[in-house]
Amino acid sequence: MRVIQIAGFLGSGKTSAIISLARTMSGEFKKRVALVVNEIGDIPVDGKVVEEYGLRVKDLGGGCICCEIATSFTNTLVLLSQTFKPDFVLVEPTGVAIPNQVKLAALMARRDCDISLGAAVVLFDATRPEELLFNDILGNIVIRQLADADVIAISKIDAASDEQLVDCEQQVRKVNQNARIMRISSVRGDGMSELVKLITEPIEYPAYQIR
Amino acid sequence: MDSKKVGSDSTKACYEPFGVSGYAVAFRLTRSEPIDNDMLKEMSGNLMLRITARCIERGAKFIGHIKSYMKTKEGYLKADTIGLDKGAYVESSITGPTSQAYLVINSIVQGIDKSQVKLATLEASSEVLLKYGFNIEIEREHEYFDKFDIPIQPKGEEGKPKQEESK
Repeated sequence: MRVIQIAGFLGSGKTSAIISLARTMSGEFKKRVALVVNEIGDIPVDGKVVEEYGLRVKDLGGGCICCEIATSFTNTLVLLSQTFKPDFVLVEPTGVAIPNQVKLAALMARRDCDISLGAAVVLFDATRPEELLFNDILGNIVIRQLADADVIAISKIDAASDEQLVDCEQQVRKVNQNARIMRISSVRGDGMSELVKLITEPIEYPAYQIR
Repeated sequence: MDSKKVGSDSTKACYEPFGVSGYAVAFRLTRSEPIDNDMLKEMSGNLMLRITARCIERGAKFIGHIKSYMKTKEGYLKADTIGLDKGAYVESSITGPTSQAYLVINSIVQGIDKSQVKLATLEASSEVLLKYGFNIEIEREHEYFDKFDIPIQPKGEEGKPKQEESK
């Protein structure tokens, strides 16, 4: 069971991306996929939207899985491995979660089940790069998320010009020299098959280590 | 503090130091006459932008994400925005007129405390939903932590345990 997180700041398109990825992985790629969606609030919105697409989802609310409810997240992974036995678990953390901390929480489950750590895919909203990167306070979260990424997916490319996309890629490359950078649009489906191929391809542990 | 919280009580959530505040509310909506999908989409888009405007009026520096999920017997509708200049995105599967709905709104912003996010969300909701003829009843609500929640210890009591945050 490989645990893959689809992270990224608030409003970057994580829920739409996870729906698109899950449908592609279970349909075209014939993989058994479980979804874990985390929201800080305890009245879910994202989990409900995901369910509307006929996908089964475990909703974790009332805190952030990278810190407050890390143990609940770990227990959820163990339970999934014992019951549903998926090939992949797609995790949507909150928009303020720190990817490396989510990885650490996932790794705690290795005591009780056989899991491997997949990529931390971090979405970056192509429609508001300056707002995100140069915000005096929140910019720190965005930069930390990008720095932890194994894959940076520039999202909402249907709503940005090619010039803006090139600029986005240059900006995020300054933050993370190692991550694979790609472009996606959940609305049009751009880049989704490529992203699925990337996150489902066989990996030699520890390909996605915590840096 | 949230009963689900793990680790020591002194552990802060990752988002607390950044002034991120949130408010979530679930409404039961009823209307004397059914309303069609186009009107519901228009209402939901307006609602997202109105909440955003109200948050900004109250001092929000950054709109993280304002989002909603509506469930009716005829389908569901989701709407969200990340700022007035970006507009609202609305997607609906509702197939017929409806007079009852369950609506969840989740507002996450930075720069104002959670009580202000709550006021902005409720003001805008009343304004928009009433305009479209809905009666509204709050079923559940939840305010999130933010930097303003860090309890201030009275002088001389710094060493004493901090009072726990209630939801």
